Amino acid sequence: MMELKIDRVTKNYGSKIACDRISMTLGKGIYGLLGANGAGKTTLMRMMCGVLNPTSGTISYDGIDVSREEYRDHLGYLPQDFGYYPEFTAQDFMMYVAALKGMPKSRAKVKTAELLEMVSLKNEAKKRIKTFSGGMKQRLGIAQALLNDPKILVLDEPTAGLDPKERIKFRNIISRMGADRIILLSTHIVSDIEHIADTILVMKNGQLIHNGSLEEIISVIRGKVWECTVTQKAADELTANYPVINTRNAGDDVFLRMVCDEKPCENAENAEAALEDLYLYYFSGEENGR
Amino acid sequence: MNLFWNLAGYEVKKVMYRKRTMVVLCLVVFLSVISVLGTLLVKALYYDESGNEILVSGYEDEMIDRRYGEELSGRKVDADLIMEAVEAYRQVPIGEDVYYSSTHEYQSFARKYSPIYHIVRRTLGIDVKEFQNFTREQAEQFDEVRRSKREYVIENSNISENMRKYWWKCLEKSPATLTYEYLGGHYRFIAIMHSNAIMMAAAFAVLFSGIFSEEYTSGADNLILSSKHGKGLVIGAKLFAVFGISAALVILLSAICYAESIIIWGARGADASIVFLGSIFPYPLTVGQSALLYFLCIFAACMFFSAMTGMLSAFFKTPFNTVVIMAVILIVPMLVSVPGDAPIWMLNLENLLPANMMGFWGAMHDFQYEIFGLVIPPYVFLPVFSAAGCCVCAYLSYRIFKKHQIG
Repeated sequence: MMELKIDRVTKNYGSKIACDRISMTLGKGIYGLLGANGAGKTTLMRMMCGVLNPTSGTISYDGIDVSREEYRDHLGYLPQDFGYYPEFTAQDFMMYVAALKGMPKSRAKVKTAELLEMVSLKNEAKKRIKTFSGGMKQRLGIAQALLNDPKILVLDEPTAGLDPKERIKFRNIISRMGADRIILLSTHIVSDIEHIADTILVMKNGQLIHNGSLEEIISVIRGKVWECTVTQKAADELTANYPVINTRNAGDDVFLRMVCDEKPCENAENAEAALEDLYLYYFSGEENGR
Repeated sequence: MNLFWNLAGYEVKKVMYRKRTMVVLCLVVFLSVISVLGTLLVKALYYDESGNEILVSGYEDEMIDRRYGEELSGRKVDADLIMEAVEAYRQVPIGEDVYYSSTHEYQSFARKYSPIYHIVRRTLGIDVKEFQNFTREQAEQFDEVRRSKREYVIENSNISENMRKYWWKCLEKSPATLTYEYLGGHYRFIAIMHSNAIMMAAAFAVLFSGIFSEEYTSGADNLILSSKHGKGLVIGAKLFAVFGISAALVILLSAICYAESIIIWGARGADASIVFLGSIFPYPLTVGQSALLYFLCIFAACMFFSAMTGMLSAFFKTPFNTVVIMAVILIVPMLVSVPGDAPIWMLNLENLLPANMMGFWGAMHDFQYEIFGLVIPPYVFLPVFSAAGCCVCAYLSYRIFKKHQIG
């Protein structure tokens, strides 16, 4: 069946609502979770991984509640920030996580070798983690999440710290894996989601405000993306009043790309909408403190 | 089961890989070894056969006592032996300007009998001057007086009838006349183990303060709690690491301490009465049995202390809070004590604090524990109490870590 059901999940921290009655059903595929800082993405992911109890609502996978061991048996999780044991080697760490996941030693060894190779850490397998760079640690984190061949894979900011080549490699791996499992990933790098997510989920102020394919999501801002070339003075005015996605010098003038409901200036022309435009449309106010 | 041992191995590894673990372990082993050898390092004043003052090494000084003690071993502490000791002590000048044990006469004549003097002194509450005036008649009545003093205590103590019966039973089992035995190694072992146990407990507070909380601070709790066995087997494995490392260290250090003591001071005296250890209450135990039971009390108290550390580690987000609280639990009972005339339940309660459980006086305390009319000696009750405490702490650690919320 493979169905991850999130039913009216709410999480309150005192009077602050981090997640507000979120309901959705996830089947096989890759889900990209978008939202500004504090939108509730990490809280939702933590609840889906059973490390944070919802204030109300339920989460279950094929009828198995999130609190049960069987649920966690199907889970792979890469948290946003997580601890490595600096004195452990990469191999030790993988073997330890494999033990946490209940894998027999023989299988864990094979899987560890395979995954370390996949994330290009094969030659560093015997090196202590304290000698690793941020990107290497992140790749190790990705590898550990895949150890048990999880049916539910939750990745919180998986591409943070990866260089462009590694990011592309990671995207390809995830794309391949999405065919027979549920993958939920959150990232601030919109292009990652744009490239691999079948479904995009947008969260704002603890609520799920959009849930659909890239096309469906983008349709919300179709006709609201504008491009224009204006003088520096006009550019300053427009920047102050509208969410500007892109600014580029064009000789003495300035090229601007903006998202807004009405035409921002006389010479502005409609442009093809992209996911980044949508992100800005929803979250620029919050991130600028507006 | 294989998986559990696998996880337990990793948990032990996590503790042992920490830099502070190695520092603490080296320090504890070093101090433990030194604590036994410490007395051998101090030079002592001695007088040769011609009465000349000479400085002897601590080891030589201890060996003099050992030789004297072994010479007296096997002799009954009867009127003859007591009077022999009195005669020897009569040759020692008692002045205000010099302490009697520093005199040539003490070293030459009385030192040999000092164990006998100390038995009489402890029993009758007399000083060296009174001992010098001890008469043969008093010496002949020594056993009788010793018993009557005990009988007086039994009859006049504010204790329950069950406890009174128990006291009588112990008194009946104690020997009418004591037979002196040089205790040597056993005595040293018992004397040194309290400070060793306190040191070990302090080490456990440092070693295990992070067993759970360092997972919180490092963020590894995310991975553990979202894994299949993160809310079950892993917690068991962590607790196993706590108890396993504690047990190994207590056994290792106790074995080192015992071996050192026996090698230096000899193994004699295991069959002697507990009275020679200075115990006021005549438990029907030999010195060897007392040493073993005392070790069990220390073992249990250390386990309890480690279990409490583990529990606080699960509760607090950082190891620092745990270390501070465990230090207070360890140190405060050594600084504050319940007055001797306090109700028995208060004295018994005081003895349940880990630091007191680790003392020989705690294990062989005068007052027993009475539960539903059953009188239980402290050397039985304390390990049982510790075991129960360990179970409670382990359960609470399990609950707290399992329910830990990340966010």
